[in-house]
Amino acid sequence: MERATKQPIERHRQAGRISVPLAVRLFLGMAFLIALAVGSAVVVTWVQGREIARQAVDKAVDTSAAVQREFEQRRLDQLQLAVRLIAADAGFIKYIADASGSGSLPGLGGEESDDSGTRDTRSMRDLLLERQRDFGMDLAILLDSSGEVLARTDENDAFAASLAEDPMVAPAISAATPFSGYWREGDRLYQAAIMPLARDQDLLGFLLVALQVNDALSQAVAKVSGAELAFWLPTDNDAVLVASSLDAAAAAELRAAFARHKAQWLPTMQAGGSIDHVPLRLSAQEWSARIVPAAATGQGQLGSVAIMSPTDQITGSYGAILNRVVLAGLVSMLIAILLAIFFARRILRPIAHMAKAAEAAAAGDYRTHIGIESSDVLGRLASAFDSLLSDLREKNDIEGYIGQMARFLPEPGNESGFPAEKIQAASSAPQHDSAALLEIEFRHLLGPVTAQTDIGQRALAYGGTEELLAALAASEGVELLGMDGARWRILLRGQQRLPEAARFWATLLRDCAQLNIPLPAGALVDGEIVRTDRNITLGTPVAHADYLLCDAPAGQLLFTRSTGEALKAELPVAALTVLDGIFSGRKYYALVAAALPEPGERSALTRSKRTIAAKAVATPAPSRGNAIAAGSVLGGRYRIISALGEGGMGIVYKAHDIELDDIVALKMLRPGLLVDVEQLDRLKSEIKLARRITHPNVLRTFDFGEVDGRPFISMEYVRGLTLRYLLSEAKRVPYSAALRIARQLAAGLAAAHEVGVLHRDIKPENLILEANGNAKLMDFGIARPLRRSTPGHTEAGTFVGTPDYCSPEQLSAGEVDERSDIYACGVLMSEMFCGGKPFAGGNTMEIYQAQVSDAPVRPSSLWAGIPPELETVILRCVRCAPDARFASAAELGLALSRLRS
Amino acid sequence: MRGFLLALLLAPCCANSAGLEGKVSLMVDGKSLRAEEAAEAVVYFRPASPARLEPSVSEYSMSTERKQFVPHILPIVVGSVVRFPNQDAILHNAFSTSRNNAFDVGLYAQGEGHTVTFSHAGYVRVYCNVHHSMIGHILVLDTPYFTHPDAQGRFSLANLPNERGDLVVWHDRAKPWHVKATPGETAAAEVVLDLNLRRIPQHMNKFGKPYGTSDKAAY
Repeated sequence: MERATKQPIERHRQAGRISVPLAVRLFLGMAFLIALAVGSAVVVTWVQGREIARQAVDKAVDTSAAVQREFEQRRLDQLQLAVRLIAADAGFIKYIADASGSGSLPGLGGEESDDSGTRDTRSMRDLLLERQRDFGMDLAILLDSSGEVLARTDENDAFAASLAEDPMVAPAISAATPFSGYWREGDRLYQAAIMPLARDQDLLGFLLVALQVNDALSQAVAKVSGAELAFWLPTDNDAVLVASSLDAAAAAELRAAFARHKAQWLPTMQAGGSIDHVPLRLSAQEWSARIVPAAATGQGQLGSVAIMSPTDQITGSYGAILNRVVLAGLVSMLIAILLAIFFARRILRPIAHMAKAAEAAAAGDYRTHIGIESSDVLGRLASAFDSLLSDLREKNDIEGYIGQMARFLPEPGNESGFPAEKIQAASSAPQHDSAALLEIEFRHLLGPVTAQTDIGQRALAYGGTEELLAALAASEGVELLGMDGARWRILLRGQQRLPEAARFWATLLRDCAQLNIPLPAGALVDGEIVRTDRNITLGTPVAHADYLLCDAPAGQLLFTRSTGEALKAELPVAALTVLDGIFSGRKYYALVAAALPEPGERSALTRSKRTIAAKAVATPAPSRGNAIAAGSVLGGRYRIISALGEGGMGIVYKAHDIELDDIVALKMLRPGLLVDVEQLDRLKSEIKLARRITHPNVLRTFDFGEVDGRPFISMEYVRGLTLRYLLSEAKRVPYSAALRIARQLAAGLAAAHEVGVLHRDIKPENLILEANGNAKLMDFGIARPLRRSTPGHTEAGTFVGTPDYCSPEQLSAGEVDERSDIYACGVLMSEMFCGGKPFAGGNTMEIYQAQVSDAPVRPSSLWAGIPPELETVILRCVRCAPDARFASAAELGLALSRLRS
Repeated sequence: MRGFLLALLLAPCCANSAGLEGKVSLMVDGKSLRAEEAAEAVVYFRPASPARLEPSVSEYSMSTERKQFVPHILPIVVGSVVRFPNQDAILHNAFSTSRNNAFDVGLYAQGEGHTVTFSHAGYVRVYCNVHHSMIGHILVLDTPYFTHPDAQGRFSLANLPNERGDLVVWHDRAKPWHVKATPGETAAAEVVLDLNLRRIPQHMNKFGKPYGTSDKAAY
């Protein structure tokens, strides 16, 4: 069996994928989930952090750009103020007006100049220069009302030039309003303000002042804004860095970077667009730059300014945060994984324990016990597992136990009725003693055998005779030996052997008369005999008995002279007479019929139930051969295979049902058993009831029949031992085996009760145990239906059953129901578990007295190791009042199932 | 944009004394003004060698009326006296910082006012210190030959010396029309003056409010 169970397990393992241990899988699963959670948190933080860092950098650049704009605006305001201030100076205006000749009348003074008028540009320039220096401007230009340059501070001579087309000057000229902003002249970038010069609201000309955009300005802005600045002016196909706040080296790097990215940046710069998020690397630092047009979007010719914000700080701090997050993530993941390992193992430890126990059980070791007390799935699994293990333990135990006992079961086919060993053990050495030999011959059995003789009939008669003798011998406690022909030998020992023999003879004659059996002839010889270990009887009484018997007439018992003399002393004188031998004619002593002693009380009819179970072996009274010979066919249907044993109602045979091709047990009822029709009807109704019960723990009754005048019952054939036999071998049955038996008894009984049948005779003799430990309840021989067809039809004053196992109400012939059966179960369990009965007594009265007045013997006093719950169950079964006991066999079964071995 | 000049000379020459005549019309932004507007302009002829001048016996008058100098443009002979009466109910002032002809008559209420003698030729701009928009122009000429055009814009200068000189049509809002002319020979002039001297609108400061500064310096 071990191999069979192991193979499927291994096959399963090999059939599957690579078998990863459950703990590892659980751990991996948990670890994966943890890693997923932590990892996603870290990733999210990383992504978010970078985003935030980028936004921070953007903000820094925005701030710097705003500061830069503010700064330039301030500068412009300053310029505007300056130019306004200059232009508001009436003296300045007048000077300029005068210098430009608008204060003179043409023709006066006799001037010969043309009508363009003299312009004193020198004076104008001088004043301009003064004013420029006063206000700290880099450049001042004086224009006339049409945009022609009158004087400028950066040129000595007034070249005739016109700024009317200049993009800043033109709108000022056309609108005659002040303007300010970025102004480009050639390759120089200025911040300029232009103002119309007016005298009494008459436009005289325009004044333009400018501050150059140079490194100093950039550095001033950079100091305030925190970002570096760089001004680019686009030329035809390049851009010139005109001013920056960077130092020389960084500026060179910037130029180099620009040279690298010229193709990308230049078109945008020329078009006056913006580029954002330009990464740069200057002076070994990371920067993020934004390139915007200096003046306004779309005016690329006025240059672009790059605002560069260092990103190292921001990204550095965010990088530090991210590093910490990653570190924390790793640490927490590590801890969580360790915890995962721990929890996985903890969860799986009971399962591993169970797996180990299961493997041990598969190997045959059922002793483990899990014992997890919790209400969750694991607890349920563990408790179910424990139940299974205890079940297996019990089964194992009972099999072992019964297996041991079953050594004594005869091999199938060898069921000769008794174990050979026992007989061997009984007589080991030749016995030499004085004994009385009573030989009996049934001559009617020795009739001629012809072709018409019904052998079966003869054999049956033979068997019946032998049965009779056997029963009588058993009841008298004497030894019966079978001999050839129709002779039997009774061996009597002891002081009273002769009167006993006489009484035996008398009982036999009476029984034969009652059973209509032709009387036998008998011979009684007393003397010294020797019994060998092979059951050979030797001695002179043997020979004497032999020829005495030949001379004995039927129905007479002859003695030898000495025996007769001895007997005369024991019996009344008139008991003996003298007869002639039928063969030799010699004279012998004979027993007078009238002087026969009273036959024994114990007759063949009412016998003590010191019986053997129907199919059990080891009867103390050996009977030779089969009453019915093996191989004979009964009724053309059943072929006798062997005799199984003797029961209260008759001998039980193992037979082959030819019709159904099945092995059955046949209980042949004793010839004198049924005396009237009423008994037969009762038997038939019993069998009808018993047939209804179908349960693995109840021996199935099949049918009732009659063959050759003898009724029989066909039953299920089962090979096993009775509980009585087990108890006779050992005082009590081991706990787990006994528990199993008790449960099965309760189950079978419940099945019977359910059908409506009471057993009424539960005792160890009626419980048979098969070799695999299955118990069957049998011999519903005196069962009664629960509901009687004719109420009140109780046989008062009588009870049926063994008094030891009868309940008080049974003994007092009161109302009997299922609980009486339960009482009997209690007594049986007490005997089975502890080896003793709860109430002791020699006869019915004593037992009844003990039941009603005494407390039952506590099972714990018989067996100290009894579990308290079991003691409670047993004691409850044997309560005096039926209401105090278990209400049903099912309840008893439930109580028993809660016990664990 | 320069002003442009159209000159048409009319033929009629007076025999006895040379004279110059013409017609003046004003234009603004390419559109002609009404003929009577031309009456404001001053036409004068200055011969190359001017004769001795006698200042006018009567005094000229430039009064302040309704916060304006009336007449707007006053030609006088050098050495003349100009009185500045105040015909407004409010106080007025008249001054000038023009080269050589600076004067200040002070602040006075309605009344005759004071007089100023202009001894030098030149262009004098007269302001009122109180009212910044009041401007008057006095042309101090060293020639007696000057006139205003009539209601049709025609002018005629008679009894001119028969020598070459400068014929100028002057308007304060335009560039002066100046041509060398000889009385009697030069044909009548058709003068079109383009009043293109730009005026700066009173621009507001950046809050849309007028500037608080004075555009007059305390001289």
